[in-house]
Amino acid sequence: MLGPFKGIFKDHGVGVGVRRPYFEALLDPKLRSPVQWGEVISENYLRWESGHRSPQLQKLIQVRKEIPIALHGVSLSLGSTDPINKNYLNRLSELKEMIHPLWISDHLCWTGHGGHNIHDLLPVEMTQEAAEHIIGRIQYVQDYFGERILVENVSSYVSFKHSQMKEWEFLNYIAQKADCGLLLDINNIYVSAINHSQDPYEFIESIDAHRVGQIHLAGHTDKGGFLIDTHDATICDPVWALYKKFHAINPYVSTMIERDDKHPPWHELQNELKMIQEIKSKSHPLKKVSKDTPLEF
Amino acid sequence: MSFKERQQQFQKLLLEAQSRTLTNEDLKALNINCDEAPWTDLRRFQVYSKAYFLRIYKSLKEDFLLVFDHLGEKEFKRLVKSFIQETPSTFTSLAQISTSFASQLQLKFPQSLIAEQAKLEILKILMEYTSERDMSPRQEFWSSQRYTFLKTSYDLYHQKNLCTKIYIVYADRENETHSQEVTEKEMQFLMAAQQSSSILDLVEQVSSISAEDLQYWSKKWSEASLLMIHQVSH
Repeated sequence: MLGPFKGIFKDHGVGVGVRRPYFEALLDPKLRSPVQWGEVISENYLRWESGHRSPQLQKLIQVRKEIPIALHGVSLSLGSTDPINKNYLNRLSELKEMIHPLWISDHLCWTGHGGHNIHDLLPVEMTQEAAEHIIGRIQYVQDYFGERILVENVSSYVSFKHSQMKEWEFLNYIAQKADCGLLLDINNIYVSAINHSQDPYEFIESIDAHRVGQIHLAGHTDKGGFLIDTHDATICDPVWALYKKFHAINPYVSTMIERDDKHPPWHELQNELKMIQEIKSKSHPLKKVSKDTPLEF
Repeated sequence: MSFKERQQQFQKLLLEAQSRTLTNEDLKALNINCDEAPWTDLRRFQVYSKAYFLRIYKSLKEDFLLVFDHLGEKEFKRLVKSFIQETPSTFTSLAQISTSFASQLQLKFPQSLIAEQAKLEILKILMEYTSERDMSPRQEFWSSQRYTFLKTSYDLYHQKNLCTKIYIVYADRENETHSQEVTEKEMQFLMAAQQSSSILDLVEQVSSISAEDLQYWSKKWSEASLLMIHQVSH
């Protein structure tokens, strides 16, 4: 097992998914604690092809003046066999220029074929052919932006007989070959593991920890032993336990809660955020890190 | 079957599942791992096909509350189902689907209350969005509150030999005169605005104009000024 070490992405501490109900709390330094950074869904702020811009963009710019922001996309469709959508990249680049994000991330999935958008994170077959295809696309995107992106593992409900690798093997191979970072969604690891009768701890222990630049924590819905990734509930105990396990391997990772629906009052979300802070402070006393020790390399 | 063909087939089935019940036979080509009941491969696949409908349904319901209340849940669901079958999304965001849905409602129910409600609701949403055109340097130019419409070449435009473009000349609040080339649609909009007593009335009169254009022109000329336009014929 790897001991604690510094990764390629800086640890920005505790973060939260910036959603409309939380704008006011995030703009208030007293209320905001312990949040140190935020993440937005890029598509909610991209300029439309018709030129329209979200009325929330100005709010986001205000929040950005207070805390660093990461741009998290759902439409890059890295696993699609369609050509890369250059119009999307251009619009994302415009948003990047406005927000100056910590980084850009998206998912290891596909979202549509033949120009359609299914608005879902569809599962990729884990074959050598798919891996090489995705590596080329990540490299293209990274060349376009001139920086590494983070790629997130998704929850899945089906798997394919012809897949040749386990999910963590697939992710490690792609991240290494494409030289990108990983966004580890611990809830997604748990959901997929339960749905496919796999061991989530094997995933946590085997993933290339030094490439993990960000962690998502979230909740899900239990449909009688089958889990649906709804991101609309509190984080369950097994997910906290998996997070603690990963944290013991690499504690230097920016960690946030991603709540997409049924938004609780801010103080309730704050309590969960404080749990991250507590876990991070126990094994990773940031204040004691010497100023001479760079957190990134 | 290649990687690409399997994706094509996956999406085809996902869209077909909106209108018919899939069978195990349908899924064979996808080579999905079979698992024990109750979560069979068919039921697992349905998580994706149901999510596709529910995600779009929820977003449209939020944006079209008037239409939803008018039609009721059952009929609204049926409408969304037929909409996503006929017009699979090519948009980046769910919010953009609403513009397409509004247009579809206007085509399906022309001159009806539903079409009017849809147009009003999408207009309300688009009014909140800033337009790229709003950010152009011309914004200041258009910021005058009220206009007096002085001259137009609209009549000449219709006599094609005399004029190929439509120009309008108008005076702003400070009585400063400006001229502007407009499209035929924008001209129709301005003429309808002259005869409208309210924004509701205007929406009714310009059913052939898209909601996006309506929103843009309403902003450009400002709602207050629309009712103040007085055309002086050529």
